[in-house]
Amino acid sequence: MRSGSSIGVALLGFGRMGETHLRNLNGLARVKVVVVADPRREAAERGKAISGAEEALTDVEMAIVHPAVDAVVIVTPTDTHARLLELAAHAGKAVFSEKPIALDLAETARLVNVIDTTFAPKSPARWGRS
Amino acid sequence: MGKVVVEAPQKTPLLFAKDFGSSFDHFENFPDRFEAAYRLELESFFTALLEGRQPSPGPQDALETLRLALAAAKSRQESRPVQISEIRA
Repeated sequence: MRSGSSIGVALLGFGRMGETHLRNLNGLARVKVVVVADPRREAAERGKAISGAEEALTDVEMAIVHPAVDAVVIVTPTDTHARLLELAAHAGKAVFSEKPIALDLAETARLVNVIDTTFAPKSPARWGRS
Repeated sequence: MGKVVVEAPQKTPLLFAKDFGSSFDHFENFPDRFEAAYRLELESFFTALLEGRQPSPGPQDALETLRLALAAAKSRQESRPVQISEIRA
């Protein structure tokens, strides 16, 4: 369960960089990793064990729409960034993504527009009370 | 015009010398070399969220850095200076 005013996080992708980010997330106050998702079951489970997350999922898209997730950290292969970022934006989740958003300028510009029109920072008091 | 250089210095001041040669330890990979940066970028992002601010860098910065990277690649391919303004969607 999340504590009163922490941000619930889904880590998407548990490769080398995913592990680096997960260990850093563990050290942040008021940030709680609730889901670790990776198509490889054993990777997701290992991430769950390291972070104390509530769930390990092989369905990355399910992790994005998980009700306890406020923000997603995208550390998946590059060609999946755009799709996951768009899903997260439409789901109203805050997104921290590895670069690049997409491989060409047109797709990147389109996604930047999607994010700009869907994301608005919550007031500080709102975290953990969604 | 100009250039950006990221040096990869040895990891610690230790240097071992033997038989007219020397060796030193080095960073193994990006997470090792940029450990502090990776830690601080996440801290900055979540601090912004918790304080109700837009995180920085944001989406527009991603677009501009891609534009820079594409300009650099085009410059290398065509062996000429490339203006950033040439790079359009």
